Amino acid sequence: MSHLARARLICLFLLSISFLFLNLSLHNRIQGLKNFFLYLASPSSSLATRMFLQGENLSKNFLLQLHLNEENRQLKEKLKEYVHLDTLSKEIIEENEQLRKILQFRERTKYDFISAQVLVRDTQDWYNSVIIDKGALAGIKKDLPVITLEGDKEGLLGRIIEVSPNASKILLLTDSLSAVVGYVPRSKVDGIVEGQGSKEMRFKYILPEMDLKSGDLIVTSGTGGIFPAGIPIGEIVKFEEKKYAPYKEAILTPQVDFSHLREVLVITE
Amino acid sequence: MDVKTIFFYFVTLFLSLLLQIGFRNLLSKFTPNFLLLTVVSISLFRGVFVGEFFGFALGLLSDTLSLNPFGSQAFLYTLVGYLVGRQNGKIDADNSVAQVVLVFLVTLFYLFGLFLLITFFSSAEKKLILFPELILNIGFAVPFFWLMKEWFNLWSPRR
Repeated sequence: MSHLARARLICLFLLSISFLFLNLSLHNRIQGLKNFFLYLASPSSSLATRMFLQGENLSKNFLLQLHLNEENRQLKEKLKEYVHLDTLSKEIIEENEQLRKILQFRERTKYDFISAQVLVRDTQDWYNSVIIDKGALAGIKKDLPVITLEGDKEGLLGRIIEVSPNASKILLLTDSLSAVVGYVPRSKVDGIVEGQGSKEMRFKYILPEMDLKSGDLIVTSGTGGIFPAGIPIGEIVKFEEKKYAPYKEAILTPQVDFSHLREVLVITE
Repeated sequence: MDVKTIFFYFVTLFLSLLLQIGFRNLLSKFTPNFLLLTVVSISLFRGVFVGEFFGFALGLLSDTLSLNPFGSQAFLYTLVGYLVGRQNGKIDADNSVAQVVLVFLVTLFYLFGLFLLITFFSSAEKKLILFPELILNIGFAVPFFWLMKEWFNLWSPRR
């Protein structure tokens, strides 16, 4: 018998059995056999249901995770925006406060001045110089004195040493090349205030018998030709006496904090 | 036929049933007929003997789980196994177009056959609904044939 004939015979046999089942199903005689097959197949049915339900849950959780990730990313971006806005708002409030102080200062002072903002401050040269955003076009000239405001009090900052059309460089009082004639109003004592390249300054050439004490305010004397008289420079914090030296020296802290310079005032008249 | 080959066909039978039930539970209404696709692919890849026996066994199992007259699926899957199995070696089983055309013809034949058998052997009213299953079967034909081929290669049973 050929391969195909055998296959045909088997097919006919299997079809006959199927047909027999179909006939028996008409008379409900097949139920027992069907139950038997169902008994064999039911584990696979329940297993498949469980597997696919778990798969469905897994895919739902996966989608939820994706959604949460996206939401998290968006919230982080929003948070960044809010942080930026918060910083901006604090800066604006600070600037507003500073401008208000300048306005109040303008009303009570006898000087004419130009307000400017600090543009550049070199980290290597922190206590030596700063660059501001106003220059010759705004009326700034070399050697003009510069002050700054801190709270209700003003303090000397330094003087202009370089001017370009739109920017100027200020030599700070704390620079070691900086020197200004200081005056103690309480005891009417003059001396030279020199910078040291740090946040402290030195009040020099004071005779030992002079009446000075810690906490004394030192202002500009107005005798140097550059700085007008009466601008606060700093306060004495301690004294240094050197053996065999004819003078004593005092250490000053500036009247204003040189670490947080934003707005400065260049005195023109 | 050795034990490994018989075991392979048994596992294939079981997995195709799992796939069919699982998809039916998942999609509830319209699903591809994975049992039919399994019979077609196994008959085309393995020939007429395997096709008709596999079709008969899978049909019987399917009959126990369906409300159709008992024996109807066995009858149709056996016939499909025999007819497609005869094409073994005559049709390029790796050709996607051949796979789609074959699945299209076999699904049409199966649905008409099932409709007739239900009409003759059941009192239940049956409408001939061709399109969802026909389209789904065609859509799944190529990936399913690829999957089956990989599955055969995994076991590499004796041809």
